[in-house]
Order: sequence, then C-alpha cells, then structure tokens
Amino acid sequence: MGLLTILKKMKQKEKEVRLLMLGLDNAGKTTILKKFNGEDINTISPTLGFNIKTLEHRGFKLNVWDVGGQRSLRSYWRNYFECTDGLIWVVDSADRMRLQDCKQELHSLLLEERLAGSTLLVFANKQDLPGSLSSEDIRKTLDLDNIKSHHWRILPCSAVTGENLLDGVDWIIDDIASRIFTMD
Amino acid sequence: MEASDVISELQCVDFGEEEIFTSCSNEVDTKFDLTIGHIEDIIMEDKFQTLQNNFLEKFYSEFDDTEENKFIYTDIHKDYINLIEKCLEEELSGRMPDFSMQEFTRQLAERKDDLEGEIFEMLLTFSDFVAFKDMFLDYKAAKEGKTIDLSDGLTVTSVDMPSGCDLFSLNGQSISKD
Amino acid sequence: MTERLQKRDDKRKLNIENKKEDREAPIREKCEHFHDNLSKEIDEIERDVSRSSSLTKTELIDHFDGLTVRLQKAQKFLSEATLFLPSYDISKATESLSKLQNMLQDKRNELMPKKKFAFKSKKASEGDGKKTKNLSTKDDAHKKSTKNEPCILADCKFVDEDGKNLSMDPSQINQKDVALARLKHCVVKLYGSPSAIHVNELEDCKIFCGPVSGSIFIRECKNCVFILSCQQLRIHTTEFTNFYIHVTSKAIIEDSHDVQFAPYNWNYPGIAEHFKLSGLDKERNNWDDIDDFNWLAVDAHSPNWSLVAPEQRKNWDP
Repeated sequence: MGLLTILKKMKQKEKEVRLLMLGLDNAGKTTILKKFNGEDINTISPTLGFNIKTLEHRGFKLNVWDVGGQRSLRSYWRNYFECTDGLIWVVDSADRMRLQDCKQELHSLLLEERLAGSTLLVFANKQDLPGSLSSEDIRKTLDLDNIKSHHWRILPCSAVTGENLLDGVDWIIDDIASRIFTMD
Repeated sequence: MEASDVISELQCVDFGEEEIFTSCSNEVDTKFDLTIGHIEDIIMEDKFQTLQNNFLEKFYSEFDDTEENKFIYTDIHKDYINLIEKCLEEELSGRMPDFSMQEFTRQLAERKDDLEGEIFEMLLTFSDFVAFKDMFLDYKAAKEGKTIDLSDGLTVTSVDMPSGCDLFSLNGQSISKD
Repeated sequence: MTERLQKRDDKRKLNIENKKEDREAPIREKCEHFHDNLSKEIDEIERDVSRSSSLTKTELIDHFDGLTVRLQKAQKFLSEATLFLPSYDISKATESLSKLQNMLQDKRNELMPKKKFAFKSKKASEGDGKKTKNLSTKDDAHKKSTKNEPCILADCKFVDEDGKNLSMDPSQINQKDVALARLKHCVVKLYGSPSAIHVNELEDCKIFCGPVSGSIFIRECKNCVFILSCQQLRIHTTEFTNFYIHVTSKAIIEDSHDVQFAPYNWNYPGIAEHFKLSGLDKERNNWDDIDDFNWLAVDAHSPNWSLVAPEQRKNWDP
C-alpha cells in the first residue's frame, strides 16, 4: 500500500464514513442519493457511471458512492469496494419479477473479501407505490436471515417521500461507529 | 514462571521501551520533520509540476463537466496516485540516503492524531477523488480558453490551497501555532 | 506536549460546538415555518374535501383532481423538509397526509361511485378486501405483511393474455404502479397517470400509456410497439420494437437491438389533466437521445437503435 492510501485510511478513521450504494438498475439509488442532498429528483437519468456526495450528518462526514446498476455495469462495482464501511443495498420493492436476480447479486456481493466487515443496510425502496412488496416480503425473498457474515438491517423506505431514509442512515452510522470509533 | 511474573516483566519491558522512545524521540522527530520538509520541497518544485501537468495533458480530454462520473475516471485516478507515490518515494530516497517508506508510514501512523497542517491536507487531496476530478475540470476549463491562469502550479493549489509561501512555513507553523 | 494537544483539542471541540449552534438555530425556524404551512394547507384541503358534497357531478372531477394535485404538493413540501425535520415530526406529518389522502379517496369513491369497483372488474377475485391497501400508500408496511407470496404481481396488472384488447381507466391506475407480463398479440390502453410501470415478456403487442410520473422498466419484449411518456425509461433484452416516447430525463437500452424511437403521439380526452397530475414537463422530451449500455465507450452511433423516419411514423386513434 502506498503512502497516499495509508494517509487516507488513517484520516478515514476520524469520523469519516464511506458508504457504497449498490443494487439493480431502476432501484432508485441515485434518487436516494439526491434526496439525501436535498436536490431535485425529477430530472434523474439512468446512471452510466457513478455519483458521489459528501454529506455531514451528526458530526460524521459521509462519503456516499452510488454506482450504476445496469447488468453491463455490475462488473465495475468491485472497483469501489475498497475502504467501504457500509453497504447500502437498494431494492425496487415493486419489481417483483427481478427479486431472484436481486437476491443473487446481493449474496454474491457479500462473499467479496473487500466488503467483509462492512455493515449492510437494505432499503426496500419505492414504498410509495401501492403495489410494492413490504420489507418483510423482501427480507424473506432475499433470504436475509441467512446472512451471518455482516451486520444487516432492512428498512422500508421511499426515496420520493423521504420516508425512513434518515433512519436508515442513522442506523448504519451507529453500527459502523460501534465497530470503528470505539476509541472516541 | 508465574503468570503474574510474566505480566510484571512485560510491564517492565513496556516501560523500558517507552523510556527509550522518549529519550530518542527528538532524533526521530527531527528525521520525521525533515522528511515532511522534503515532501513540501518536492511538491513545490518544477519537476513535480511538470509531472503533474503532463499527466493532466494526457487525460484531460476524458473529463466532462457533468455531475455524474465515468468509470474511466477511477482508472485514471489510480494511475495518478501511483505516479505521485512513486515520485515521492524516488525523490525522498534521493535526498535522504537512509530513507525508508515503510518507516516513514509507521511514523505517520504513530502521529496520526497530530498530523495537522496544510501539507497533510495536500497529501490527502491527492487521493481524494472529488478534488482530483475538480483539478481535471479546472485544467480542462483553462485549456479550453476559460479564465484560469495555468502558468504557475495551479494544478496543485487548485483545491483550497494557499499560495506556495504559506506552504513553506507550514512546518514551523504547526509547532508554534498554539 | 500534552498540554499543547489538550489545548488544540479543546479548541476543536469549541469549534464544533459553535458550528452546531449555528446550524441548529435556523433549523428550528425552518421547522416552525414548515409546521405552520403544512397544517394550514391540511386544514384547507380538509375543508374542501368536506364541501365536495355540495358540488355537481361535472364539477367533481376537476375538484378532486385539483385536490389531488394540492395533496401531492403538500407531500412534496414534506419530502423536501425531511432533511431537517426530526424523524418524529416526519412520521407525524406523513401520517396526517396519508390520513388526508384516505379521506380524499373515500370521499371520491362515495361521490363518484361508478368507478368504485371498476378497478377490480378484470380480476375480481383478487380484489376483495385489498381496497384499503391501495388507498394508503405510505407507512403501511404492517398491513402489507399479509401478502406472503412474493412473486405474484401487483394489483394493477395484465398477465398471461393472448389476443385481447385490454384497457384500464384513470380511477384504476392514477398514482399506482402497473405490471404487464407475458402478453401475446394484445393491445393495451392505459388511460391515466400511473407512478411506475414494469413490463416483462411481451410479444406482438401494442401498449399505449398516459404520462407516468416515475420510471418505466421494460424487459424481454419482441415485435411490439410502445407509446409511452414518463420520467425515466429503461429497455432491456428487447428486439424489433418501436417506441413512441416522451421522456423527460433519459431513455436507455441494454442487451437490445433493432429498436426504433419516435416522439410520443398518443392523444385521448383528459390526457392534459394526466400530464398535470404526473408532473411531467410537456416541453421537455429527450425522445431521440438514447444511451445504449452496450455501446458506451465509442463515439460512433450505436447500431442497436435508430429513429423512425418521420414519414414512417404511425398515427393512433384515441
């Protein structure tokens, strides 16, 4: 590891948290990101690359990375694993036809060595849609109860209304903080 | 040997090491400060500026001033970090015959709560993706005839950095500040 | 040395404290401003809902649409405020708004009863007892947990049909998500403004849809024509299919070929209202700017998609 990377890692320990947001395409990742940042969510195009936002929350500096979820982009995800403290997995709760696909992608992600030790938050997004599945359904279908390798939690949310977004972030920060910042 | 003996002996050793550490810490500190001083020099020298400008020149056309980032930026950023790390290590080894990057990074880690001053901010800026992208966008804007003057070392100082003069006085500053 | 560090630490902490106070003061003001405005708007909408009974049938449509738009605005106002509101206040406000939405929907069903059961007429057997679920859209995770078959499709749907003319009207699909799956040789007309559409495995179909406030997701279609307007459009594994679209952000294709694009040209009575309801910008249509995810690196035009020549564009009867 080079000098700059070492310095970066050292600094990251100081109340700086890196969150990686992944999920299938059309899950609403960029909408969640922009919602966090209080931006207009009506003009968002499908993501071809990745987006980054730095947010201040409860004295933490959150670096949130949102990487495009199209099938052809998923092989790039691994370039963003390094230094990830928390993984936010976003699900389109109304996309019933692709939940198996979603489950597979998530479980193979959790095998990644560089994500070992990161906290997993699953957002069952699009709860504003009347036809969306509940977080309970998603939890079963994605077989979350079998995840033993990571601390995880699932929350129903809506990027459109903002429902539960902050609760999710609060939880993931708390979980990360309890692991990493115990010295403070 | 009883367990308690082991513990007390260990404590003794610990204590002893600490004493040794304190007694020679001035020497270590001096070397550390010297290294930092060299890094500041290196970064401000023309050679480094040229290295950076060449890099910017090579890749700036890949960058677009849009909020979303292309995957290729990540590859370019990795190359950039490698380039700078390699340059620093080579230059430091040239200036300090007994320089060891391993030793230096260990010293950094020991002082990690006390690393304040613009030089560290700057080193961190190199590995900061957002700053990296901004640097390219500034360079591109300048290349394409927008207003920024590129003539002297803008590329390093573009991200909230003061002018070179401040940078040189940093080391002293960080010690006498409070 | 330690003293120096301590001093520095104190200073840092003081700085953080000061910053915190600076941040909190305006947030308090913002919260108060938010509560004042929201409760005023809720009161007014409530009052208007309760005076619905005194209106004539023809006035009612505009009246309810107007109220729906106002409610949406209030929801938007809330969602914009979620960044500074404490979570307790958010859930309180969400609750009031969803109550209001239920009240509005109940009133609408009461005064315009003809549409009440139309929604389920297609598949009546599944509709019973689920009405409440469709009415409240938020914060009802508990109610939903009764659905324990994850792979069944949403309530608003057409599935496994062959050779049919199918349609749904605004009362069925407005602000709902619609699913279309495994259809062959069908013509589907969706009059209204859904929130989202998921499309899977269609063949030789023609799909017409009013303005969709969110995204449309299309997968595995063949020899179809889609006439759609929406905020986002994603097309996957689709071939020999034409799209007449109004897209306010961007359309993308992936693993698709022989797909063609033209501007949206469906028209039916009431579509202007539905555009309003969807919030889509009528002036902003990126129908000819398509990203092909299998053709990213190159500057040359993707061979997988093209535009329908103007003289070959079809016109549709409402």
